Amino acid sequence: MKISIITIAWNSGKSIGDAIKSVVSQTYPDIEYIIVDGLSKDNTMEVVKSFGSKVTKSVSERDKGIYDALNKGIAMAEGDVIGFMHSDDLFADEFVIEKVAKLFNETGADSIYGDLEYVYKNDTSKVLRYWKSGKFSRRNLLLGWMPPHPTLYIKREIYQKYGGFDIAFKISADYDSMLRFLGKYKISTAYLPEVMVKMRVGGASNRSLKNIIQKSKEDLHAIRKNQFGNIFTLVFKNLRKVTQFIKKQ
Amino acid sequence: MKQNVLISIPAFNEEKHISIILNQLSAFKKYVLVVNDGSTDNTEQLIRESGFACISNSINWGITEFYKTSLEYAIKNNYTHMITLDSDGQHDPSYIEDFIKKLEHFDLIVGNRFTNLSVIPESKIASNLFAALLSRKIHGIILPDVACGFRGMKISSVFGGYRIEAFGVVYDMLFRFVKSGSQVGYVNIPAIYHPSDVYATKIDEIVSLLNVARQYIDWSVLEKILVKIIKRKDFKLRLFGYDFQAQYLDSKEYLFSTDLIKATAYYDQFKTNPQFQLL
Repeated sequence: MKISIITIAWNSGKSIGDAIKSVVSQTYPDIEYIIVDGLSKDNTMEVVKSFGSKVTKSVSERDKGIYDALNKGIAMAEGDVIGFMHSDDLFADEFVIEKVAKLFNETGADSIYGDLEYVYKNDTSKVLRYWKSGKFSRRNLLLGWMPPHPTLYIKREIYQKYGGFDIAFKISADYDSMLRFLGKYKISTAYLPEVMVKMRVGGASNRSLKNIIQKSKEDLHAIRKNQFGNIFTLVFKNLRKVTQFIKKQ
Repeated sequence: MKQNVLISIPAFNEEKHISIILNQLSAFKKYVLVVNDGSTDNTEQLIRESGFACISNSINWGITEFYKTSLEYAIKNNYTHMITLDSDGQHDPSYIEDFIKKLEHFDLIVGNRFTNLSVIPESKIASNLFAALLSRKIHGIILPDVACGFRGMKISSVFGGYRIEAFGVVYDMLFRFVKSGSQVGYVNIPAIYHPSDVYATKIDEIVSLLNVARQYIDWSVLEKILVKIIKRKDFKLRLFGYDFQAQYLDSKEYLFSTDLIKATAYYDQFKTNPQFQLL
């Protein structure tokens, strides 16, 4: 089973080396690693190039945003399974993909997800909060539950059947795609009850009030578009974030 | 004007071919730059031994950095023009004179490999015409070949502050020249193919072309094609009355096809129509 991992980069020179290292040091042998850079002005591509052929494919050109870049990566991917590694994130350890592959083989599921740790920007060994996903149920999905997108590995045939990201969404295209796959088209999924990914705090989706409002609008649009859930789904989705903060204390 | 033309060739792991092309270029030796782009074989040593000017990158940067490196070198050494060609034997250096002649009247000259269609696989003809017509949609200019790496150009700041790493740069360069008001022409060169081979087009190359095109024109059809590629579905496109079908082969490639009679007529106009025989 070939697993394609896609990293989107833009002026990520400071962090992308850690992300790439954590991918190329995975013990699983059949990994295709694709990096899609949005024409960085810093040393991102120098860092990428310094890994030589360990990065299977890299492109650097203008794109129409994160999800357009991710779509390009999906279009170029040749693996049986596709996952994403953000340029600020890293794998929890070098066995993550091996475990993902094993769980795919054991369960035959269409997708796999796991847990995620939010860590400090400058010290990724310090955990700020912990996102324990728990088991998937459609009821939970209706109540605003979703798997952490950076831990979600999906068979490429699912993208082939149901498409990639809808670039009409600026922020919530990941939520839209998860509702589409898990809610609307009922793809099967399996839970890996372990921390897969460490995410540095300060993601693109929760920076400013303006972004939060835009994100909520888009979330609601995604709910309506996929005819899955209602306004309460959105309310509960936002509340879940609050409980994550409380749990950390 | 020959003394002002730099001839620059990229070389990446070309130890098998590099000596042949350097021999062919010996008459121009003073004006040649070889950019060794991160070769891991004996390429660099062979270039150094031959006495040709050489710039070596420690890692394989790809074609944009090659253009940038060459342009910087050309500016530094007071060249007014530059000709680029591949070092793998695809491009016959004896056509360099034709490029130099045409550079007196044009700012960018792109080699045209599509003169004798009988030696070119049908799928290659179709995919090239697709690229040529999509380019026309962007800049309005009717050209036979928009992807050929055998090129001549006026030294300009087209690549200033710009780093791209994708096959699409060959199109982007053309679009940038046209956009800046430059005159673009072509030179007929022989094509080296095995006509019986099936030349499928790599998905990466199609995505690259579409992506470059999407930066210049807002045409929702192009986004729909990208969605089709993600879904690995066949797609069709009609450009200026020419119909193209792209058939999904495997996770890497599509096979292009088009009406060959119409395609042949398209390429014939570059042989017969006097408007294209400017020199």
